[in-house]
Amino acid sequence: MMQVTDEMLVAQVATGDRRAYATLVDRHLDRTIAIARRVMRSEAEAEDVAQDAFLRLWRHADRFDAGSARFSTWFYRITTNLCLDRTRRPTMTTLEDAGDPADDAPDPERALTDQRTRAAVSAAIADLPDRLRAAVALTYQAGLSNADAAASLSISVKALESLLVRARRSLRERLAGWMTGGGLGE
Amino acid sequence: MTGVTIMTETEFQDLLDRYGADPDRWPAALVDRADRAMMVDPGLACLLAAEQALMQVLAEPVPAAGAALRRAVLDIPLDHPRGTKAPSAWVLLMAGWRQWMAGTATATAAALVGVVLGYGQMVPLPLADTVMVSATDDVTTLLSLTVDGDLSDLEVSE
Repeated sequence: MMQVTDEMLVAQVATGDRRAYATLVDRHLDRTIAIARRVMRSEAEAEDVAQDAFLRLWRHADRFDAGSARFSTWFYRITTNLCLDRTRRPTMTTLEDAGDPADDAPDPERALTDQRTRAAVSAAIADLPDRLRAAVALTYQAGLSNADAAASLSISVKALESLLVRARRSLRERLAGWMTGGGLGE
Repeated sequence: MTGVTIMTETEFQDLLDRYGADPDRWPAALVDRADRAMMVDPGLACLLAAEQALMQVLAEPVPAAGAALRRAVLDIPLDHPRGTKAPSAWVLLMAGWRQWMAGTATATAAALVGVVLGYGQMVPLPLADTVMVSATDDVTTLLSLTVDGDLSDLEVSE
């Protein structure tokens, strides 16, 4: 049986088909909230963005042009733009919030170590400039290809790759500083 | 010493950018240089550990959306029904104009066809011919009957 593509579904949504809309929600909500969580600085804001993105899908599905982009590219561009439009406030999360890295420890403390590392990575990502954070979210959280992530950000693949290199270097250096306990140089 | 130059931090960062955090994927020619560099500068080893931690966290599965959010998103079509927009006065005017033009065009076309066919006498007029033929027949019959009647009357009288 032929798989109904996202592009077919969005065409049905444009005619008011709620079942097609529900299918697109099933397919894309998790990745949408993942992007929003990574780019936004609070769960509440991330959920607002996700709802807003799907509201726009419901209202403006007729604006999607299957000839010019894939649905995922179009939709994650909407999501990313919503995130970037809202992230104009100074960050409230810092790497210090992650606490100190744990020393090598027996297994019972491994979970704590992982949790702290995870928190440190999240805090470091949260401190990245908006576009770097969006690039990381689209590529690593949403799992988009470089081409799709670049299209979602309306930039070239080369520019996306440059953003990712800058983001990773920044994250790596900050995490390395955190790991050695030498502070969190900006 | 073997004369192999120690990898600089910039080169080490490039190595991580290009080949990632898994030393098994590094080009063999660079592994030795990178190992030496990390022994000389522990900060580079820390950069490698940071890159590995970063990639590990980023590769973790994404937590699914919560049930409440999913419900709210699925309810969007119910909360925001997409009614048909009331047509503007201009749209109504144009719709009426189009209908009027369509009717006028049909009537004009029909009239034109009628004129062409009529003037060109492309269509016979069966009703007129039939009347004329039947009228002629009636007169002939009447005359013949009258003549025949008169002759028989004469013969009888004679």
